[in-house]
Amino acid sequence: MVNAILKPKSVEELAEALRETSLPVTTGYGVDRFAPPCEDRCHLDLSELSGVLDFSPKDQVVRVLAGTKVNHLGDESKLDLALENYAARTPSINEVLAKEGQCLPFLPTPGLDRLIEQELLLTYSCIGFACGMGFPHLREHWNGTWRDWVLGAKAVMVDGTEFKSGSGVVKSVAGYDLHRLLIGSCDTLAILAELIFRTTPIESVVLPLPIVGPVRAASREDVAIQRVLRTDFAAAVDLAGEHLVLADPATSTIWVRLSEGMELRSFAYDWVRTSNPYRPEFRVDAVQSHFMRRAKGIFDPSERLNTGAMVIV
Amino acid sequence: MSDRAAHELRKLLGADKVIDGPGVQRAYDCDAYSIDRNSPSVVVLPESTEDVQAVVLWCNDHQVPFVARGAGTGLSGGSMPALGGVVISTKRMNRILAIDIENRCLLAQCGIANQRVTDAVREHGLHFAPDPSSQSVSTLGGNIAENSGGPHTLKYGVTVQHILGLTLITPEGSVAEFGGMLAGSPGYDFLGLIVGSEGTLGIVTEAWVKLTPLPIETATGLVAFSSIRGATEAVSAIVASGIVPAALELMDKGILRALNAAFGLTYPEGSEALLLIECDKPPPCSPKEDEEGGGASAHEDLLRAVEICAQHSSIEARIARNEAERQELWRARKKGIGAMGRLAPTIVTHDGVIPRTKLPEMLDFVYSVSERYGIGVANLFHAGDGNLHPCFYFDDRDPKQVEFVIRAGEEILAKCVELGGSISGEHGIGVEKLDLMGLMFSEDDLRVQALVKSIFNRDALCNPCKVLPNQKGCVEHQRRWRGAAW
Repeated sequence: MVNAILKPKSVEELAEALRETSLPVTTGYGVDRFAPPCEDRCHLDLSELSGVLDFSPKDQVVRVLAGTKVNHLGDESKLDLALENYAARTPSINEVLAKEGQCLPFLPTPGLDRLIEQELLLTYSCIGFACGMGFPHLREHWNGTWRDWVLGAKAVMVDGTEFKSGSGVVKSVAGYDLHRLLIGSCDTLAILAELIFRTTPIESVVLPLPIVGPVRAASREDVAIQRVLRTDFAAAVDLAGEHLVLADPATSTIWVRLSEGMELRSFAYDWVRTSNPYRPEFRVDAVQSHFMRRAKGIFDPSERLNTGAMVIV
Repeated sequence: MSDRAAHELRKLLGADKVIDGPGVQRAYDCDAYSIDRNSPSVVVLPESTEDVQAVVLWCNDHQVPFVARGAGTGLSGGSMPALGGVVISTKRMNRILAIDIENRCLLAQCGIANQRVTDAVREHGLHFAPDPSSQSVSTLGGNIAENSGGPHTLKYGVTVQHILGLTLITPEGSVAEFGGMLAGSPGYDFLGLIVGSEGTLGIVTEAWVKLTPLPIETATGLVAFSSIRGATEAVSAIVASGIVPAALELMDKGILRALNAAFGLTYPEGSEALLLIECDKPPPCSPKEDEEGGGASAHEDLLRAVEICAQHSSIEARIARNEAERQELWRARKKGIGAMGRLAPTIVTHDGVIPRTKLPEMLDFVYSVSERYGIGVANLFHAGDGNLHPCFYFDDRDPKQVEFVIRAGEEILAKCVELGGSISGEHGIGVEKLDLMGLMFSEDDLRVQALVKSIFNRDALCNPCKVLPNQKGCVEHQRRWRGAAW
C-alpha cells in the first residue's frame, strides 16, 4: 500500500522528503510501474524533477535532472494516461541538444515501439529511469552503454545525504567512480537526482538495424533481456521463436516476452535480466550477489530503498 | 620483519619468486612519480592468480600491508608502498590465456604489456583500444587500476569501456570474478567501480578485454600554429564542428625545443605549437551500412579539420600520404616526454582536466605559474579531451625546486577545479593528490566514497593511504614519504 506519493521538484526537495519519512521508499517516473513487495511505503514520483540545467555545446557536456525526458518518443498525448505536467512539459534533452546538432544517442529507433509501449514508453524515456535501470539499448554497439555517457552524478542517500561523484569534464579519474555503481542499480543504493552526460554530434550516430520479432511487449508485460556470445546469437533468436520481441545483432542481445512458466535456454557465458527488477528471473551470480548484499548493507542498512528490487538475497 | 617476511614468503611461493635487500627496496620505493618514496620490506613475483591469493592471505594473517605493481609507470604514486610491507609485482604474470576472435575478446594475465595484447590480434584486424603513452611497457593490470586513457581516448574511450570481465583477489584474499566475455551483465556495476580504483579494492589478476576492429581508413595531419592560443581555439572549433577525431594532441614550444635538442626534429619557422590530428573510419557493421557508405571519409574529416585550423592562425599543415609518413608525424608526440630528459635531470608530469573551451585561459595560467616559481614547463597533452599535462623539468636534488614543483602543481590543479574540471584525467590520485581531493569533493562526497571503498576493503592492508585523504594511520607518514626524496 502506498501511504504517500511525493513529487519533488528539486534535489533539495528530494533530500527533504527522504529525511522526513521512515517508511520504505520506492521511486518511479510518472507511473508506479512495478509492484514492489513492501506493504507500507512512500512513493517518490521523480517525473517533475525535470529540466536541462546546463549545456555547453563546445564542450559537449550537458547536466540534467533525473526526471528529464531523453526524447518525446512519438505522440505521447494520444496515450491514455493522466500525466499532469504533460501539457506544460519541459523540453526533452534531445530537443535542447538538437538545436546545436548534438544528442544523447538514445534516439527513436525502428522497432523500439515494440518494446516500450504506452505508459512504459513515457517512463522509459526519463533519463533517471533509463540510467537507473541500465537497460541495454540498440545503439550500444556504436555509442556505448548508459554508463559510458555519464560523466558524473548527484544522488541522495536514504537518510537524505546528498553527494556527487565524477565531474563535468569528459575525462576524470579523481576518486571512486560511484556514479558507475549507481547506473543500473535501480535506485537501491541511492537515488539518482542529477546527471552529467557527454553529448555526441547527431551526424555521428548510427541507425541500428534490429531484427523485429513477431510479438510486441504489451502494456505491463515484462520482457527478459538475454545477451549471448556472437556465435550463439542465431540459435538464441531461433529458440526465442514466437516470443521474440527484438534482437540486436550488433551486441547479440535478444528481448523476449515473458509468459507464465516460460524458461529461456541458457548459453555459455550468457546473461539474462528482466525489464522488471522485482521478478525472480532477474539473475545475478553468487559472487555478484555477495557483494551486492554487502553494498546494500553499507548504503541502506535499514533496507528501505526500493526493497526487493534486483533480487538482492 | 623484512628477513622473516622474505623467509616465510619463500617457503610459501618458492625461492625464485621472492626478492629483497637494499637494492630491491630502492628499486621498488616509488613508481614514475618519484617525489614520494617509501621502501617495501620484500617484493614477490607471483606467476598465477593462486600465487597472488597465497600472498594476500599471508599478509592478512600477519597484518602486513601489500600493494600490487605492474611496470611501475604510474604517475601519481599509486603503487608506492606507502606503509612498507609487500610489493606484489605482476611482471611474471604476462601470459595470454585465451583468444576468441569470433566473439572479439581475449583473456590475459594482468602483467602483460598493453601493446602485446594488440600485437596478438592485429593480424585478425583487431586491437585493444586503450593506448596510454607508456603502452609498450605499462601493464593491463596497471591500466585497469588507473583506468588509463591515451591519445585515442577521444574516440574510443578509456580502459573501463574495454574491460569485459576480471578476476579479483579481494583485500581479504578470496577470489572473485566480475563480468565475463560479454559486456553489461546484470547487478551492480562492480567491474566499473574496480576499474580506476587504483588497486585499493583488491588485486586484479586476469581480465577479459574487448577487441575492437581496426579502422579501415586512417588520416593523420600535423598542423603548426604561430600561437598556442590559436591551436587551443582550433581544438574547440574542430570538436564543435561535429567531427569526431580519433586523436587531437597538442605540443607547445617547450616540447618542440626538447625534441629539437634530443632528436634534431625541426618544425616550420615561427611554430609556437603543433596539433596532431588523426581521423579514422571503422569498418561497416552490416552490408546495408557498407552499401550506404556511412558518412564522410577519414580523409575528408581531416581536411575539414585542417581548414578549421587555417581559421585559427595555423601556418603549415603536413598530411601523411602513407603509413611511414603517419608514423613520422606521430614521432614528435611519442618522443616528446623522452626528449624532456635533455632539459633537466627530473621531470614531473602533472595531470588535470578542464572543459576544452577553457584551454587558452588554462595554458596562460600554467605559463604564469611556471614563470613565478622559476621552474621550466612544457606541455604535451590530449587537447581533444581537455586533459592537460604540464611537464615541469627541474633538479630533484634541490629541495627548493621540489617544493616549487609541488606548489606549482597544486596551483594548477586548483585552477582546473575552479574552471569546472578535474584534478586528474588519467594518472589517478595515488599519494600525489591526496590533499587535493577536498578541492573537488565535499566532506559528504568523501564520506560516501569511503563507504564505497568499504564494500571491498574494510581494513588498511590493501594499498593503504591512496585515493582518499586523511585515512587513519596515513597522515603522519606523508611528510616521511616526501622527505625520502629530499
